[in-house]
Amino acid sequence: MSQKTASKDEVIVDLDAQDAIIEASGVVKTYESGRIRVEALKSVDLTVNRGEMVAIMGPSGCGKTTLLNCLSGLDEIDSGSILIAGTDLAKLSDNKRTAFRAQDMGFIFQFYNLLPVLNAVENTELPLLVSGVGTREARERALAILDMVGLNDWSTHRPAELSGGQRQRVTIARALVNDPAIVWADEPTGDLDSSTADEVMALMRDLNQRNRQTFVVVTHDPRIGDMCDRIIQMHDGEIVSDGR
Amino acid sequence: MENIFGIPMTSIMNVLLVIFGLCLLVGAWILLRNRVIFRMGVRNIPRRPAQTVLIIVGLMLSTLIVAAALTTGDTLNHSIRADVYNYLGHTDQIIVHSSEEAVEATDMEQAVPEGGGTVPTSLLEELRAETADVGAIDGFMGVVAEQVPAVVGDGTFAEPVTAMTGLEAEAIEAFGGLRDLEGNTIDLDSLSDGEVVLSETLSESLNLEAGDAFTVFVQNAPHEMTVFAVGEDSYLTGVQTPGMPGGFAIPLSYAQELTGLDSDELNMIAVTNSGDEVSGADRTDEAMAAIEPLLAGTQFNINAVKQSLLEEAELAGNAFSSIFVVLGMFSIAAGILLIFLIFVLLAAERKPEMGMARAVGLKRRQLTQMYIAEGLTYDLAAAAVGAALGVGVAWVIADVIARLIGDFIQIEPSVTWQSLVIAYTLGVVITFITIVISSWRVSRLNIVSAIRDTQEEPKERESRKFLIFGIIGLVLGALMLWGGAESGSMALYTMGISLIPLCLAVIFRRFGFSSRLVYSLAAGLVLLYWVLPWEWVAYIEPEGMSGDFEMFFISGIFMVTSATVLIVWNATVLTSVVSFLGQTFSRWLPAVKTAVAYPLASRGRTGMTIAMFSLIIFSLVAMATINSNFEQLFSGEDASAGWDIQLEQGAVNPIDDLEAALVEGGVDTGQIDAAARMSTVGFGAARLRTSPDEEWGSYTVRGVDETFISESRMPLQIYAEGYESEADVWQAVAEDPTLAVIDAFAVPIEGGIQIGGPGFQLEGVDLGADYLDPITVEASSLLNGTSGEVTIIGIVDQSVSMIWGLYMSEQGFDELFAQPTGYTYLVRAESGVDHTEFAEEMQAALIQYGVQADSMQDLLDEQLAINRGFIYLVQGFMSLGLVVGIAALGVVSFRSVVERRQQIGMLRAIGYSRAMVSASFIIESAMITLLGVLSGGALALWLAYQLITSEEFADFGQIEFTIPWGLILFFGVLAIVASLIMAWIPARQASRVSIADALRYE
Ligand SMILES: Nc1ncnc2c1ncn2[C@@H]1O[C@H](COP(=O)(O)OP(=O)(O)OP(=O)(O)O)[C@@H](O)[C@H]1O
Ligand SMILES: [Mg+2]
Repeated sequence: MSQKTASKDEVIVDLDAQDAIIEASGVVKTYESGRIRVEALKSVDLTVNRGEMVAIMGPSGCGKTTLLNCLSGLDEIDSGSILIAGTDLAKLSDNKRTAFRAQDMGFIFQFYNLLPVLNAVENTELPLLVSGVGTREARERALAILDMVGLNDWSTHRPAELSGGQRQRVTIARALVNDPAIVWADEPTGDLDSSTADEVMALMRDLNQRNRQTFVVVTHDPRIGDMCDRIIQMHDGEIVSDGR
Repeated sequence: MENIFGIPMTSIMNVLLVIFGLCLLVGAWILLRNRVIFRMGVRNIPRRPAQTVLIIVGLMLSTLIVAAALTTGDTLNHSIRADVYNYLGHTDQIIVHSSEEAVEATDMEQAVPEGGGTVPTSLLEELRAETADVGAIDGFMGVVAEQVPAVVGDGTFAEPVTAMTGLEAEAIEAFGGLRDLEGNTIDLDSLSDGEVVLSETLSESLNLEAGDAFTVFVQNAPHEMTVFAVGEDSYLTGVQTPGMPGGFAIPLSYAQELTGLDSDELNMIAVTNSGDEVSGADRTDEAMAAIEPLLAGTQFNINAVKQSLLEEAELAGNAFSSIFVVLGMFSIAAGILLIFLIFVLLAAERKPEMGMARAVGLKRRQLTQMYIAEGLTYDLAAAAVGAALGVGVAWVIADVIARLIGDFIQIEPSVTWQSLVIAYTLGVVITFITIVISSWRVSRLNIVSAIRDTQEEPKERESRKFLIFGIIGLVLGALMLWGGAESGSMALYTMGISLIPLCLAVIFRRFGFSSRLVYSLAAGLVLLYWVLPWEWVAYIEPEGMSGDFEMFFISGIFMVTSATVLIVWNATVLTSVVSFLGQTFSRWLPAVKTAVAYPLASRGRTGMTIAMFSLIIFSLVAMATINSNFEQLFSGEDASAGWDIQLEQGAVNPIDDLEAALVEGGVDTGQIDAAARMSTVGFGAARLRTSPDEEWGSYTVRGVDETFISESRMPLQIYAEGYESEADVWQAVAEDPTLAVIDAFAVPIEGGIQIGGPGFQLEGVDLGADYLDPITVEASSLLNGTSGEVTIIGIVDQSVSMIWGLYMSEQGFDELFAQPTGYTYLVRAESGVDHTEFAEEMQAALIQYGVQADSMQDLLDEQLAINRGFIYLVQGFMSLGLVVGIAALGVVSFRSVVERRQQIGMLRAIGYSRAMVSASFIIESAMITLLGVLSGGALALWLAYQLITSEEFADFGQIEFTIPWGLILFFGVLAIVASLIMAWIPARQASRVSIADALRYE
C-alpha cells in the first residue's frame, strides 16, 4: 500500500498495522419511520481479515445493504462498535471519514452508481480528484484502469450510452482506481447476464488476489458466493452462518 | 387614468374581464366535466409549501409589474389633480384678451397672462347679466394680475417674482373667499391702499407678519406695502403651484392704480362654476357653451384652465404608466419564461406518477387539464398577491418621485379600482395562457426526457410534432417578414427574419442533422443579424422601415435568446476552461466538475435561467449606458452655449441698461466678460404652426441681440443651403428680420415617448440630410394677437440643452410681437469669478427689477440630479425582474437537490465532503448567473454602442461612447450575490443529505 501514500495528505487510519481489517461487534441498527420500527441489524458480530474476499448472502430485506453501509461508515449504528483497521470510524469527523473513504475505500452500490452527466473516464477519476491527485495523473490512472476492465474504447461515453454490463465495469473501475484497501460491493452483478456477471466477478477476484485488497460483496448469486473466500449468510438482521 | 397607449382604460378592462371570465370558465368546465381531474390537480398544491411559495412568486410577477406601473400613473394623475384643485380652488375658467381662437392652457403660470391686452369691466357686467339664469355658472370676478419683485427693508429678504393679484371684493365669496390661517374670512374691502393679504409661503420666505412692511416695484417705481393679514395659499393669494414663491391679494381698484390701468380695465375675468373645487370642473362644458356665444366675434376668449390642467394630469399619469409598462416588459418576459420553467420542473418531478396515471387510463388531454386546474389555482392566488405587492411597489415609487419633484408637485399615493382590476385580470390572463401552453407541452410532448438528465432521443411521433411546429413557425415568420415589409413595421420585419432560421433549425433537426450544429448555426445567424452594424444589414431591409421604442424590447428578446441558445449548445468549451482552472484550484476541482456538468446536461432549464438573467441585465445595462451617453450629450460644455449666468425677468420692470443698473446696485461689472439679451414671449403665450391647416403649438420665441449672436457658442446640427458656415447662418438671422433658428428639441425624436402637452413640433426635418430645407412658420403672440411669418434656416445642436426657443433678431421680434412677456440676460463671467455667488450678487442688486439670477451650472446640476433620480427609479423598477431570475435559480436548485439525491449520496460515499457538495451547487448557480449577466451585459453594451455611434444619433450631436462601469458592475454583482444567497439554502440541504438513505431508491 505504500505506493499510494504519495498522494495522501495524511494517514488517517494505518491500514498496514493489523491483520483484522474489519472488526464489528454487537452492531445494532434500527430504522424508525413513523410508527414502523424495523430492526435491520440485531447484534451483528463480524471480523474480516486483510485480503479476504467475503460474500454476504441472504434473502431480500435481511439487512445486507444495511450491514455494508454501517461497516463502511456511510450509516450510523445504534449500538455496538465497528473498527476499521483498529479505528472507530464513528469517532472521526465527517470530513476525516469522507477523506478516508476517498482514499482507502471503493464502492459499488446496488443502485445509482454513476453520474449521468459525466462520461466513463470522468466518473472513474472522481475518487482520485477528491483526494487531491493532479488532473493529469488522475486521468492517466483512470484510463489505465478502464483499460483493465476492457473499456478503453468507451471512456468518453456517458452512462446512458453504455450497456448495463459496461456501466457496472465503469463502477468497478471507479471503485478500484484509488487502489483502495477495502472494496464494498452491493450486488455488483445484479443487473448482468450470467456470462457478464462471471467476467465481472473474475475481474474482481483477480484484483483481490493480485493486490491483496479486501472485498466485501453482497450477492444473491450462489456462484459468486462460491468464488469468494468466505460466505456469510444473513437472515432477518442476524448472521446465521459464516464460513465456506 | 382614462387612457393608456391611447386606448380607453374601460375598454381594456372590459376586454380583460371577458378573457378573464373565459379563463375561469375553462377552470369551471374542467371542474364540472372531470371533478377528479380537477381535484388531482389542486391537491398537488399543498404538497411542497416552499415550492408553492416560489411558484406564486414566479406567477405573480407580471401582475406586480402592471399594477405598479398603473398605480404610479394613478398616483401622478391624482397628485397633479389634487394640486390643481388646491391651488385653482373655485376658479374653473378664465376670460382673457386675445384676438385668436381659444388656446389650451399648458401650465399653471400661463393662467395669469403677463402684460397682455386688457378686458373691459363692461364685459364683466354683460356676462353677469346674460348668464344670470345659467345654472352651471356660479359667478365672475374681475382680476388684475402682475408679477412683481418684493423686497423687505434694504434687501435682507427679497423675492424677484411674486404674484400681485387685484381681486373684486364683492365677487370673491363665490370663489371660496380669502381666509387667514385660522380660517376666518378676510374682507378685502376693509383694506386701504397699500395694505395686502400675503400668502403664507411668501410670508415665510420674506419673514413677514401682519403689520410688517415691504416694497414692491411696478413699472420701475417702488411702492410701500403693509401686511394686513397672512392668508392661506391659493390662487387668490397668488400661489398657483407648490414651489412658487406666492404673492399677495389687494383690492381690484388699487391694483388698477398700481399697474396703470383705468378703472374699467381688467387683465382677465375669472369664472367659477356651480359646485365645489372638484364638481365645478365637471360643468366646464356647460359653462363654456353658455359663455362662448357671448364672446363670439370679440377679442376675448374663454379658457378652461382647470379642465386643461386636469387633462395635463391625465397625460402625465399616462406617460408614467406607459414608461413603466414598457420597461417592465423585460421582467414580464422573464416572468413568462419562469412560469414555463416551473411547469417543466413540476412535470419532471411528477414523471413517475404521471406515467402511473397514464397507465391506469388517464388520457393526455386529462393530464393537461390537471395541470391547467392546478395552474389556474396558483394563478388566481398569485395575481392577487402580485396586485397587492404592485401597489406596495408603486407606493415606494411615489415616495421616490416625491423626493425628486416634491417641490413642484405634492405626491400623494393613490390607486384606482380600475387599475387594480386591469392589473389583476391581465396578470391572470398572461399567466393562464402560459400555463395552458406549458401544460399542453409537458403532458403532450415528451420534452420531459429532454430536460431530464438521462437524455432519451425524442421518439418518432414527437419529432414529427417538432416538424409541424417548425413549419408553422416558418410560415408565421414568412408572414411577419412580408407584413413588416408591406407595412414598414420594423418590429414585424425583424421578428420574421429572426424566427425563420430558428424554425428552419427545428425542421432540419428532424432530418437527422446534429442538433448542436443546426441550433448553433441558426442562433448564430440570428445573433449576427442583430449585432452586425446597422448600416451593414440595412441592405436586406426594404426602404422606409420605422420602429419605435418597442424595438428595444424586440432586439433584446432576440439577441438574448439567440445568444443563450449558442451558449447552451456550445458550453462544452467551458469544460476546458474548467480543467485549466482545476490545475490551480485542484482542491475544488471535483466540485467545479460536477457544477459544470449538470447544467450542461439539462439545456432546457439552464437556457431558460440564463435567458432570464440575460434579459434583465440586458435591459438594465442598455438603459444605463444609453442614458449616461445622453446625459453626457446634454451636459457637455455647450449645454449653456458658453454662458455662465442667466438673469430672468418679467416685463413689468424693464431694465434700460443692464450694466448701468448693475453699477447702480453696487456690482463690479469688471467681472462680466459679455452679456447678451433675449426678449422673450414665453411658452404658452407664443404659438407656432407650419401652415394654416395645422394646429397651433406653443413655443418660446426669442428676440436676440448682437452680443448673443456674436458671443454664443451655439453649434448647428443642420442649416440651409447657401450659407457658408454656422456663423454665416447666425449673421443672416441678425441681419434679416424674417429669418430664424430653432432649437433641436422642436424636432420630434423617432421612437421617443412624448410626455409634454401641445407644444410645437417641427415635423418633416431630415437631420441626416446635407442641408435643411428652409421651413416657414407662422408665429403668433397671445398677448396682443399679432402674428407673422418667419423662415427657419437652422437647427441648433442638441448639446445646447439649457437655452431653447425660436431665435430671431430683436428687430424681427419687435416687428412680429412688439411686446415681450419677459427678458433673459445671459452673462459670461471673467475667469475666476464664482458663478453662484456672482448670480446671487446680481440678483440682489437688480431685485427691484424682479430679476431671478442663477448659475447655469447650478441649474444644469439640478436638472441632472432630477433626471438621474428618475433613471435610478426606473432602473430600480426594472431590476425587480432580477427577482424572476433568482426565483428561477431557486426552483431549479431545489429541484436539483431532490433529483440528484442519490447521486449526491453516491458522491458523498466516494469522497465528496459536505463542503464540496454545497460548493458544487453554489458554483453551478453562480456560473449560470454569470453566463446570463455576461451575455446580457455584453449584448446591451453592443446595442448601446451601435445606437450611440449610429448615423442617426450622430446627427444629434457628436459624443465619445462612454460606459457607466460602476453602475454595470453594481447590477452584475447584485445579480450574482442575490443568486448566491438563493443557492445557499438548497446547497446546504444538499450537503446534509444522509448518504445511506440517499443511496436507497425512493
Ligand atoms: N431508511 C429505512 N427506513 C426504514 N426501513 C428501512 C430503511 N432502510 C432499510 N429498511 C429496512 O431494513 C431492512 C433491511 O434492508 P436492507 O436494504 O439492508 O435489505 P437487503 O438485505 O439489502 O435487501 P435486498 O436484497 O432487497 O437489497 C428491510 O426490512 C428494509 O425494509
Ligand atoms: Mg440491498
